[in-house]
Formats: sequence, C-alpha cells, structure tokens
Amino acid sequence: MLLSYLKLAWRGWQRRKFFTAISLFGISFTLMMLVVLFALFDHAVGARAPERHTDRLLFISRMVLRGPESQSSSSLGYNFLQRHVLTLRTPEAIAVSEAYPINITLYVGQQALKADRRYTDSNLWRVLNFDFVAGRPYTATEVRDAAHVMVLNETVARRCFGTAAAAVGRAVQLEGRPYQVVGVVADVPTSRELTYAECWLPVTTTTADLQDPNNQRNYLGDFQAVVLARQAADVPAIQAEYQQVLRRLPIPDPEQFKEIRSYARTPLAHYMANHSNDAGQDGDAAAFWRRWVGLGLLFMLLPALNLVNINVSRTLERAAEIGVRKAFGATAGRLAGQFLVENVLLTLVGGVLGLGLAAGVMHLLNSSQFIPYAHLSLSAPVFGVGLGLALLFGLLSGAYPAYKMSKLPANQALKGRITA
Amino acid sequence: MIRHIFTLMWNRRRANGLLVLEIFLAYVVLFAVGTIGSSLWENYRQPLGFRFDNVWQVNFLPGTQPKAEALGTLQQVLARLRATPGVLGVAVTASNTPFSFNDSRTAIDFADRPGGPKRPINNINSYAVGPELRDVMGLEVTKGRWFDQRDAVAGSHPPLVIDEQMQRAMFPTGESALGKLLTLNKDKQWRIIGVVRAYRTDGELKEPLPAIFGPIAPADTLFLPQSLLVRVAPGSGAALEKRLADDIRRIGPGWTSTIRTLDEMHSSQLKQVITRPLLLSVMSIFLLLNVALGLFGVLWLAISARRAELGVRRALGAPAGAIARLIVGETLALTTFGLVLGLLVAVQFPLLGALGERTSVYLTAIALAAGALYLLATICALYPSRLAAGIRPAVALREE
Amino acid sequence: MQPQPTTAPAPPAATATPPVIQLTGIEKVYQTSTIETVALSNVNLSINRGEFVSVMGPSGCGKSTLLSLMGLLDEPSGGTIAIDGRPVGSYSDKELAGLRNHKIGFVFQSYHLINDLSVRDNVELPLLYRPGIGGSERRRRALAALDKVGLTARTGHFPAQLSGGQRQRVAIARALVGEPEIILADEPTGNLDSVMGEEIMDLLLGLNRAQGTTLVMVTHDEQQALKTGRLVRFFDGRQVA
Repeated sequence: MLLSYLKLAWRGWQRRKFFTAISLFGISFTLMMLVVLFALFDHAVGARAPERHTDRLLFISRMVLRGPESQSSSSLGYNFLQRHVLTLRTPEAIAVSEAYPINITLYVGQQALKADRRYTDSNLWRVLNFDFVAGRPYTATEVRDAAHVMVLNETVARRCFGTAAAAVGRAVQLEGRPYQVVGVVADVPTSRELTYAECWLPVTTTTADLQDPNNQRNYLGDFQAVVLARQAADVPAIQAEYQQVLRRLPIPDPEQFKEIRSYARTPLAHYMANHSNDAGQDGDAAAFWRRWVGLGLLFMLLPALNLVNINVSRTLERAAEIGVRKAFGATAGRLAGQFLVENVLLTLVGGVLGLGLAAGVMHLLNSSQFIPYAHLSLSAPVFGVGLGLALLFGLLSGAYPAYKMSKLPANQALKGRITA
Repeated sequence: MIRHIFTLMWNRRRANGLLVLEIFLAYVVLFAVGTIGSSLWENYRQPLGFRFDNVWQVNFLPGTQPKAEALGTLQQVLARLRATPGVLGVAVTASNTPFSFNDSRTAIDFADRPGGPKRPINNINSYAVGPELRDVMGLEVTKGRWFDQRDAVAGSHPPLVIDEQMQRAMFPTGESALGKLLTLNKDKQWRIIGVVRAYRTDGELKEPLPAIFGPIAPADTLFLPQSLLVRVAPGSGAALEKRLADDIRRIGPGWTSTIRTLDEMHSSQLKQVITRPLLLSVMSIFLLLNVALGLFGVLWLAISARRAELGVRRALGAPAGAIARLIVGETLALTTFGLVLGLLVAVQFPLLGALGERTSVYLTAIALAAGALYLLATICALYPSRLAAGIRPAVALREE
Repeated sequence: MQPQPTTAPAPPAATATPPVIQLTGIEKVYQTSTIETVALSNVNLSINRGEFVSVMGPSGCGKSTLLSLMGLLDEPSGGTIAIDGRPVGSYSDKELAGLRNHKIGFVFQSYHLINDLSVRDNVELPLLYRPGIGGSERRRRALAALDKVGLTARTGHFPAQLSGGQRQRVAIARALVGEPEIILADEPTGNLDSVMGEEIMDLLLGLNRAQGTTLVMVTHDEQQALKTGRLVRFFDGRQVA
C-alpha cells in the first residue's frame, strides 16, 4: 500500500518537474528560515555551556521599584545580594557577577585589546559549567584576597598570546595593573546574555565601591546572582523563598515607592521577559509563545497558501485521471489519502533540503561572526523541530486540495470541466 | 475590455479566492517592508550634523572619589589631555554621546507666545556639553551663535542652543526661535542663543528628534560629566590610546577609563539597527519570490486548463495580442482585488497613527508596495500570456 | 507565413458577386515526427451567398479540418482559400482575426461557452474584439441576437444553469451577433437529444430562409442534411459528392 503510494508520488513529481521544483523551493526555504530562527532561540536559551543545567539554574538579575508615579529599575546592588540572596537556604550554590559585561582595554606589551569583562566571585565557576581549555578557575581564597588573576576566553587568549595554553601564567595589564591569567575557557556567545563575557575577574579587585555604608537601603546596583538548585524540582521552592525574603524587606524610599518586584528566573523566562519591567516570574511565557507561534504560523501561511494554490491547480489538471480512478471504484477518501501522502512526502523531502540549507546558513552566520562567538548547529531539538514543522506544513498545504479532490464528482472530473 | 476582464474575474472569485488571499498577504508583506525601508531612507536623507572620523569617546569612572574632589581631578585630566600631542580638541559631555545607545529625553509644553495655548513637544534629545563640542564634532551653526566666553558670566537666563528640528517643532510657521525663552524643568527659563544644523547621536537611521544643548561651564560644580569626546590627529592609534588611559589613571587615583573610537561605535550601532530590517527584507524577498513562482505556476496551469476557451476567443476574432492582453489583464485584475483588501489594512496605519511612524512614510510605502505588486504580477503573467497567445485555435478546439 | 505583398489580386472576371468562401485545390497534411496523415486532398468548394450547405462523412474523413480551414483557424498545406474573392494566404494573424470577427460566425458541437460569463456577456464576446463599439451598443446587439434565438428571458443566467439546447441557442446567438456573412456549424446538434436537435435545426433553417444567412454545417445526421440546400460528402479526405 505505502509502496504504491510512494511510486505514485514519485511519478506525480516526475510528470511536472517545474512544479515539484517550485514546491520544494517554497518548502525548503520556509523551513530553513524557521529552523535558523529556532536555532538562534535554542542558541540563546538551550542547555549548553556554560548554562548546561538550564533546568536547575535561576538568575536574579533585576529589580523594579514601583510607586504610583515613578518607577525605578536596575540590576542589583552587591550589598543587597550579599545580605539577602547569598543567605537563601534552598539552593545548592549561589554566585554573584556583574549583570552586564563592560568593555575594557587589555594591554599585552604594546598591544591593546578590547574585551568585555565581568567581575565575579569564585562560586560562578561552580554554578555554571564553563569548558576550560587551559588552566583553572580562580579560587575562593584568591577572590577573598583580591588576587589580580583573570580568566580569558579562548579567542582573546589566542589574540594575546597565540594559543590558549600559552596564555596561562602570563600577565595582562588592566587599568595599570598586571593581572595573571590563570585559566582559559571556551568562547561564550553574546546571545548568552546573562553569562557572556570575554574576561572574568575577581569582584574584589574592582576600584568601584562595593560596600557603600551610606547606601544600606539602596538595593539597586550593577550585579546579579546566579542560583543553582540541587534538583530541578527545587526551582519553585527557591523562587518562593526569594519572594518571601522580598516581602520582609523594608521598601527603600517609601514616599516614592510602594512595591519591590524582583524574580528568580530561569534562563528561558529571562529571555522571554525581554527586559520588560512588567513581566512576571515566568517571563510572561504564555504571551511569548502566543506571539511567536502566531508569527511563525503567519510566516508559514504565505508559502502554504502558495502550495495550496499550486496543488489545487494541479488537482484540476489531473481531473481526468481522478475521474478514471473514481469510475473504477477508488473511494474519495482513498484518493484524498493518496494525495495527502504525496504532499506530505514532498514536504518531508523539502524539510530535509531545508535542514541542509539551514546548516549552510548557520555555518555562514558562524563564520561571519555576525553574532560574536556564535556557534549555531543542527542540534537534536533543532532537527526535530525542523521535521515537525515540515510535517505540519505538509498537512497544512495538502488538506484543502485533498478535500477538494475528494469532492470532485466523477463525471465532471472525467470531462475535465471544473469551474471552482 | 477592462470591464469584461473585471466581470470575468469577479465571476471567478470563488475559484480565485485563495490566489487573491495570497496576493493580499503579499501586499501586506510589501507594505511592511516598504514602510521600514522608506522610514530608514527618510531618516538617512536627513543631515547627521557632525563628523565622527578621528573622534574618540573616553568614558571614565571616578571610583570611590567624592564628587567635589572628582570635579577638580577632571579639570586636571582635561588640561593634561589638551596638552597631549595628537589631541586636537577635548569636549566634556553627558553620557549621551553619538552611537552610544544612551539618551536623555525630555518633553516641553511649549507656547508660541507668552500666555498662548500650550502644545507638547515630545522626545527632545537633551545634551549637556562643553563649549568645545562644536569644534570637536564639527557642528554647523546655522543661526545665532554657539556657547562662548559671554556665557561664563551667569545671567538671569542661562543660554541654550537648539537644532533645526527643534526650531521647526517650536515654530512650524518659520518664525526664528533666536532670543526666545524656553521653560525647562518646570520653572527655570533658558534663552535660545543659536541654532545648529543637527546632532543626531541616535545615528543616521533613527528618526531625527529635536535637540537642545545646555552648556557645561568649566566652573560647574553640580554636574560631573563622565564622558569626553576627543578629536585626535588622523592616524592616531593604540599608542595614543594607552597614553590617554595611563594619564587619566595617573591623575585620578582609582579612576578607570574606557576609550572607543566613534567609528567603531558607529559600526556596531549601525549593525544593531540594521539587523532586524535586513533579516525582515531577506525573509520578505524570499516570501515574494515564493509568491511569484506560485502565481506563475498557477497561471501557467490555468492556461492549459483554458485552452478551449482561449481557442473560442481566437475563433470569434481575437488576435493573438488580445489574448496576451487578456491574460495579463486578468492577472492585474486579480492583483487589484488583493490590493484593495491590502489597502484596507494599510490605510489603517496612517489613519490610526499606529506605531508612531510618519504619515508620509506610510503613503510612500503604500504607493511603492502597490507598484511593486503590479510589477510582480505583470512579470509573472508575461510568459503564460505568450503561451496563451500561441494557442492554435484549430488544435485547441478539436481536443475536446 | 512568408511576407508577401498584401494587396490582393483583383477578383476573377467580375461576373456577379464572388462566392463567400472559395476553396481551390486545398491540401491538408498533418505531420508528426513519425507519421504523415493526409486530412484533405485536392478539395475544391465554393460557398455562395445565401446557401445552406451540409458536409457529411464518416469520422476522420476531414470534415472538421475543412471547417477549420474555412473558418481561417488553420492554414492549408496547399491550395488557396478566398473570402469574398480575396485569397487570404498572405494575411497576418491580425487580419485573419479581423476577418473571422467580421465575416464568420462559429457554432460548435460542445457549445464552447465561457462558464464564468453570463449569457449576455457570452453573446457580446465577438463584439469585444471589434474596436469602436461601446458597451450599450454591444448590449443592444446581444439582446437582439438573443431575441432571434428566443432566449431573451435568460440573459443573466450562466451557461451551467441552461439545458443543452439552450446553450446551443446562446452559441448561435453569439455566432449571429457580429452579423457575419457566413456561419460555420460543427455538428451543432451532436450533443443534443432528437427533440432539442430538431429545435436547433429549425432555428438554423429559419435563419437561412428568413434572413438569408449563409450556413455551412458539418453533420452526421442524414435527415438533417437532406433539409439543407446542398449536400457535400467527404470520404478519406476527398470530396465524393
């Protein structure tokens, strides 16, 4: 049965090569785009280094102070994190780092190099899973003693010293002081908004004032906390514990503000919240999916309509053949089924082509460094989503023509006179 | 003939419904691209107002140094930088420097004449800059004067420079804003002393916004600017950069600084602004190509399904040219149906003022998209129409 | 078509009016890559004004080809076709289209109406290809033609809503509307039952008698053929009677 379907499908495609080509073009390019978009999304939030345990990671990176007339929002103060977040009891470990990477200049001899830095504590290396290419992370002792040590990413290390291994132990001038490179990690792409940097430094070596005693009540600042749960199931408990801490906190400047809002968010929720001050703990996931799935479907609609139109035209062209089949006893359902199988097969072939094209585009994106340090690839979820979309596309574009075909009366079909 | 074609297409509306829907969607895509494209073009055509080659931005943080001390240190730093060979000029500025993504916006309720009705001027870029900015950035003063020694003497109304966009926003009728008073921050009144061409720090692709400039006098003790714009000699490089950074650190204990060239900031800003429109254009071109191929295919198939009809038309006395025109005309009629639907959607944008884009941009986009749609449809119909014109009536009529 | 001088030779010895259509030594050969089929061989035939001629013969004898040639839808492989005494061999596509439009009306076995046009729009069709006739004039003439075939009540209907006989009447009205000198009918009753066929036949005979319309009709029906003024028989591409 299936074999005969396949044979018929093959012959159908052969008969009108041009239309097969048009269909394949539409399907493969649509899927290519969707796959690349999904790959970009996956690249930003999927489980990959350094955020390998996406199900156990939480980021506390932002606080919004709300009042009836004013609103103030920022990342968090170092002091606030020390007093109210590092004291959380449920998580396995908590790290503190600068919330946004800052561009600095490194000097190696006479060579100057721009790099994005983050000040961090030593816990960051435990909570996140950086791939060390050479050397080691800096230790708690080094952070406590404000040792001038640093971790570089591979590209910067190579640019400074030729190879990653050669960088370890060497000195880099930063803000007039020599820092010793203790480790080199694999590049983190910029799309990893919360963890990207090119250069990591012990937070204690900063010249900025971390413990401003006059500002006990100021919760806002330049830092974020990275929280690792013992297991995925603990995530809600941690979020609840953090909310409880916030409820007990006095509101800074109560004349102006009435409410403190801050959440411990998963990387996905952070991504979906998209820096909106109004997003909830889950990053308004429902709205996010509605919007993107809607847009995706809309994007698929035009090529699908196109395919439907071509398919309908071809159905009418084949009306005589359909009439003969009907006259010899083929049921409407069977004819429609055959057509649907033919179309789904075509879209699957288009899907495979689309994945191939997507791989090419990703390679191009990677090598062009359009997104710095991007390493897009056809991972398993991307591959699965691609084939799933192809299938959906096939059903979407095949259903209506198949329905029309099954409705075609045998006598009219034989005469080949169909008006609508 | 045109009526005939429209009648025919109207009677075939059910059969062609999906095609019309497709054309409609294609129009919406074209309209979206047209809007973004003409908006960017419109913005790009406006003067940028400054030159950014060989200009560096120096951002510094005074660390734990108290503000009063930091102000003194800053004067030392400025003196040192100005004395450095290779440095042609240094201007202090608030952090909203060109291409920095930082902005400082304000809104004014403005009355043309004292006691007159007030209307809001929104989204004004407000700059606090040192008097050296004009020379460092190459600002062009078109009316009045830029800040100078006279402004060092504190008068009753501090001086203010505006740009031409702001002049137009204040006096659409063309009356000069020079010498007029502008109320900022509720009570304080500023006197307008000059007009510059523009200072579009948001970049050449962003919508030009009105701008106002307040001076940072050397004697200012309230405001600590944390950015410098430095014009350097052409060809200056890492050596000068290191020297500037070292000097700043040496003079200000605990000070840290970041130096970037405006060239580099411009490229990264441009990249960020252009990425989405570029992505959208690529996707749209692909979608339109898809639509074009599909339309072409459908028209082609339709010709073979209509051989008998076209044969009859030939038999009844239609020359080959008339058949070709019929096919193109039918396609354009279908396009018109889709276009009408699309226009219904498109005109909502200027009517409702949605998305805050200028009406002229929408109108350009509507016209461009309509033209492109007709062009697309015509190209798709050309080959099928030739095919149709080549039908031999004797053969076509015998087939059935 | 070879470019030739367009000035037609003077009509042969102006006796009376020349025949509406004159075929002289017509040959028609269909050529495919493998075989050559002779459809017509040395056909000489004149149709005079006011005549009603039937063409009979078995399937494949070349009578439809003959009609296509007379209707200027096809070119002969040899011989000349003259309309009103002027040979058309050197005419361009545009000139041929003009002749078809002005001088010739067609009626087909399977009607060949355009399904998406109303009866009136179908009938107007030939006038559409005649420049200089306005919409209201077209409409008036279409209604007049429909009146002649007795279908004035159905002008707004679509072909799918009509019976076979009614459709053929519409087709005849369409052939009449341009007031051609000759109507070529290819088995006009072939798709109709005998009652409807009879009606159509009566209509055509009436047009011929009452208005003097020249008619050439291909038919299979001996009875019908005998009612017409002249009967021409074909066999294997040759005129046998």
